[in-house]
Amino acid sequence: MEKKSLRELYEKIEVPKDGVLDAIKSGKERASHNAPKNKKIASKIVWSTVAAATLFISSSFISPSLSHVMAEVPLLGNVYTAFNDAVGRSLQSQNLITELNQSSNYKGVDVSITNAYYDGVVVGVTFFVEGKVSTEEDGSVQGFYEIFGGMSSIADSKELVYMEPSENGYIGHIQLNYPKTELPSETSFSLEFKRIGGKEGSWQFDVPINQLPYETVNVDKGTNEKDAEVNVHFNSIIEGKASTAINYTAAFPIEGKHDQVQLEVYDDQGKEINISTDGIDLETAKENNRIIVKGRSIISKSIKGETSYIEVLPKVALSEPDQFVKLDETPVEINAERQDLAVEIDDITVKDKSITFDFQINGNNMNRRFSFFSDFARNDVTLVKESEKDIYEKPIKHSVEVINKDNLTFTSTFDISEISNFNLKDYVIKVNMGSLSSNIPVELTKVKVDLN
Amino acid sequence: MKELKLIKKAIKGNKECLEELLVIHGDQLYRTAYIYVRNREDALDIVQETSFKAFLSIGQLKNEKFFLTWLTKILINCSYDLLKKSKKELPWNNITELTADKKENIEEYLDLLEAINRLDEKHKNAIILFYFQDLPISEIAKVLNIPENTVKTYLSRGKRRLKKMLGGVNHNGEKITSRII
Repeated sequence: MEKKSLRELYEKIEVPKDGVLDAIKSGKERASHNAPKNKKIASKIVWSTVAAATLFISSSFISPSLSHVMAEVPLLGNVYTAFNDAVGRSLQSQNLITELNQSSNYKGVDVSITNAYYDGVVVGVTFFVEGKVSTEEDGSVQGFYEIFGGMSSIADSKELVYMEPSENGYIGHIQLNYPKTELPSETSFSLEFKRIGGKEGSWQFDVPINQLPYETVNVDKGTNEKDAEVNVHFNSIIEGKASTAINYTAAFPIEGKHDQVQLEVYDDQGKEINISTDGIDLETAKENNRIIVKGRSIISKSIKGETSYIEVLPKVALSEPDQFVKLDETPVEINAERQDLAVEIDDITVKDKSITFDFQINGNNMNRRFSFFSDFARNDVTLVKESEKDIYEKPIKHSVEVINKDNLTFTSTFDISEISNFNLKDYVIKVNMGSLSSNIPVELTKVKVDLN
Repeated sequence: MKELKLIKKAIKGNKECLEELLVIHGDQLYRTAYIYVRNREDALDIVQETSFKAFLSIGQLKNEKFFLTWLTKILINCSYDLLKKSKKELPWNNITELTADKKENIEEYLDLLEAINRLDEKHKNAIILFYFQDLPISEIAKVLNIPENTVKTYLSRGKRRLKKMLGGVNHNGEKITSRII
């Protein structure tokens, strides 16, 4: 995901400058009325060394004479520890990392690939950057890279990476999941840095990777959810040296093309095993009016020998379409199409300047905080012009009151005073059912997989 | 490093320095608050509340390096406090005001804001802090009080979710991806 374009959108949020200044001033004034007397800061001397270090690493490049200040900077040898890569760390302790030495120079910035691993489906690469590059406030260097030519069908094929200062340069680390169903044992992938420390350029590599020996457990077991018309079939488990991958095939109805599988995994003691990455879509196809997704989830450790079986609990976040109700059709119950979720709307009250109705959110397994439902009540039950119901037209101003927190009932009042010639027939209530369903996944039954 | 000097003075109790710092980061505070509440009045309320709390507790900031992390943490707490105050009337302001003179990306932008707000709370925080507020993963871990690897998991889950919501497959079952993510 390219941060730049998101940042551009962020920058486009118009800031009411005066409003912000006033808000800061009011905050300051309010604080001066009930501020406790300024406490003496006992520890201020201690921080002077930290300040020196901060000043130093914030300047654009490092002067070697000061490098002793950074006694604790990560060294090349412990990159996997510095970047908290559990798979890399474990492989390093087993001496299973391949040393590499490829470099590329552009505009005076040298990038070299120092080592790599390929365990099961997880690939890790570390690299070293030397040259004049500008740093972030915290001393790190930001880079932007593409793998596999930046193919948009591959998740994370264009990403940002932060490099940490090290002796004479910066070290960086990329972890990725091999994005294909079939796993070649000896292969290479393209890696191109397109920006490093503010410099646009091209540093290209073809990184050779050899897969470490692994074992495959064939599973061939499935589970489904009738109402949701979803099934998840587990194909195999790949047991690597320091990682585990679960391969599955999920099938959704056509309208569920945005459905998403999340897995929870438990060991033979009933303890949850943390999934590090899930919902990786490897292939998507349309067959017999069903969407078939080959997917994969990853555990960043080896579970071989740790547990005799695992239980996998699939949860699927369904995508539900928006629903619309004509104002003369109330009271009405709006049900999600594939899941037990509903919004019951009472009779509407029409006054000169406003339209009011009560509604209640109902359903199964709604173990979410109240704030989630009040957000939904505020943002996702709105009054829109029927002719413009599918576009983002300005919603009609409204306010929401909570009637009862426990049974999730609310009252919404819409202000129609500014609409000339308001006609009930032109307006519909829009319920974004997808906001509820995508956050309240349906649970399928657990599948037990023997590992021995 | 002018800012670092200001932070030091602010920690020692210099209110003008803290005010200057808040003004420096004012746009960022407002924009992040806006993403959470999606309307101007509430976003400004959050900026005020954040400033208020910053003035009250700046003396407790132990390390000036973490000023922005600390401030962001306050901002997020204030955002959630406001969202939780369900009794307060929460108006649906004109969401289009934010791009009044820059129309080109408006639909994508609204889609994105809506999609982000549909994310699970923990994924939403991670995405906002990383992609909008521009904090490194180590700082996000501090703001949210979770391990770095958990931040990475949240980011990857959140991203996948966003991609699904904004992209998807076309009628042939081929993947298409939104231009912005």
